[in-house]
Amino acid sequence: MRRRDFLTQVALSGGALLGARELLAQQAAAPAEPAPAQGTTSNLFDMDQMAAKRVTKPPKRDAAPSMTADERDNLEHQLRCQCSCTLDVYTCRTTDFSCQVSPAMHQDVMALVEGGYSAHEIIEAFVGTYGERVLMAPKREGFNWAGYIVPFAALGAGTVAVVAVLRGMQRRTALVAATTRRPSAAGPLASDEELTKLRAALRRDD
Amino acid sequence: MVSREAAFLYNNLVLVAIAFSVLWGTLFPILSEWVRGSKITVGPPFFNTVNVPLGLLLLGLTGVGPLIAWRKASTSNLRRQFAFPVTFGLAMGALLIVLGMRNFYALVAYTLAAFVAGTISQEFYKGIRARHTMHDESIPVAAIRLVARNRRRYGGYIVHAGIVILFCGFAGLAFKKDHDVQMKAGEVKELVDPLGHRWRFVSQGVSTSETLNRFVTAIGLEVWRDGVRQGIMTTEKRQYFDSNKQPQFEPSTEVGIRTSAKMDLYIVLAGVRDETAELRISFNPLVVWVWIGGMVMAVGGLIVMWPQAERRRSGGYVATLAPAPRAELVAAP
Repeated sequence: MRRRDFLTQVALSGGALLGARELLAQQAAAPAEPAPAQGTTSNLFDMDQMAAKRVTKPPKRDAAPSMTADERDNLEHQLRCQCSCTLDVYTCRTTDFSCQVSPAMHQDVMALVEGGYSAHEIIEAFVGTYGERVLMAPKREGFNWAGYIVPFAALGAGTVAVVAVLRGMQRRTALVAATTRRPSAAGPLASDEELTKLRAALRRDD
Repeated sequence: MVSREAAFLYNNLVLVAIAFSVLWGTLFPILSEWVRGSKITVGPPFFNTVNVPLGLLLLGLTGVGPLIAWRKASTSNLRRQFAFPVTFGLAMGALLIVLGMRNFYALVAYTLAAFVAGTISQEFYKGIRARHTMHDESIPVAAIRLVARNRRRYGGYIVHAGIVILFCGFAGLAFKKDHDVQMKAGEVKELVDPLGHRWRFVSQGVSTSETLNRFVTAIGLEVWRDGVRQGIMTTEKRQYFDSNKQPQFEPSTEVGIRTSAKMDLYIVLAGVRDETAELRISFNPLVVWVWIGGMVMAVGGLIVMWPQAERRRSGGYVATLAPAPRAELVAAP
């Protein structure tokens, strides 16, 4: 592409972007449609404020808190808020104060921690109540292993395929080189002087 | 098998694998429900588990590609080319271990980033030195002309440098630290960030106000770092309303952000209960480098795409090749 064409295209693209931005700004300034009923939706998704279910267990005998606040926060990073926000419980309750689901789930986590339950036991209790969808990532068991392994298996298969193709190309190149070097073949493809010029031209183009 | 062309192919293969893993993770809940009949969630932890190793592999290949010769690399050539970058990368890894870094993925990321940075530096050093020697140019002039005369190659290296910066920023998030705090007016909280700096937050109290189209609930915090006052940071909740003062949607949050080269500080107002503000204070190391890396990549891309000026003077050598005689294919002995 010539430099003038390139610069023209860059200028046109920039102009189009600015125009699109102006259009979006005008749309944003236009009167919004009436809002749905408060408390059932957010700006981005349908919010289900009634999605919280109680996850309770009786405290263990002589129960003491089973983890520190940091460990509890890490545990809440593994549990998904059920208000449809797609965030984990910790992030949702510390970001979106309008959500009533993540604070309720947080209260249940706190009660179980106070009751002496371990992280594994708390996660199992939540899975027992909500199902596996309460976890931010699928458990590493059974069919779920496919989720974790398939991308790496695909990469391995792709590597094998690429190596096979390269080997085939290498064999064909070697065969052609061997045959063209034979005295009975059509002779050299270029003179020494031409090859020198070609190499110099390639060096400049690198 | 070991050539620059092959390295490009492997690089593209890893990029395709990353794209596939995102597609696979997105579709996996549907597939799982179809196979097992139960719903699952595939969130950030899954994508981090799968894509972080692939990303690190991509970073490593970014450094390997430029070191391998076109067509076929000899062992001595590989040894000569890899010596400095590998040594530099390993030295960086060892230094980070000595300094106390124990996060495995971050350690690997910084080691590979140093390896790639070593590769890029070596390529620039060789090119600049060659121009300096052959054309007797000063170092800055040689550097500028090196890039200007070989835009595709050295623009590509600048893109690689952007990728290195980007990965350093990503790896910094391994040390992210969140704090969940409640503060009344005048209350003080002291926190330590991942780099060991002591921060002091003094609540200036919660305020409420009404502007043209929204109700605002805000809190200001006086921020100190290692005894030095950093200023006032504010964060607020906004409830937009319509012409009838009816609330529109859910409240939105304006995050208080303080950016520096080492670390970003975010303060998020989650809400207010009984005049007590509930806040999340996050220390996010190296976030700004994600932006800088992106910009460096864009500049490198522009250099690569920038067309070469057409030469006005004639007389230069132009390679013209006559059609090659058809080679007779004879079975090799």
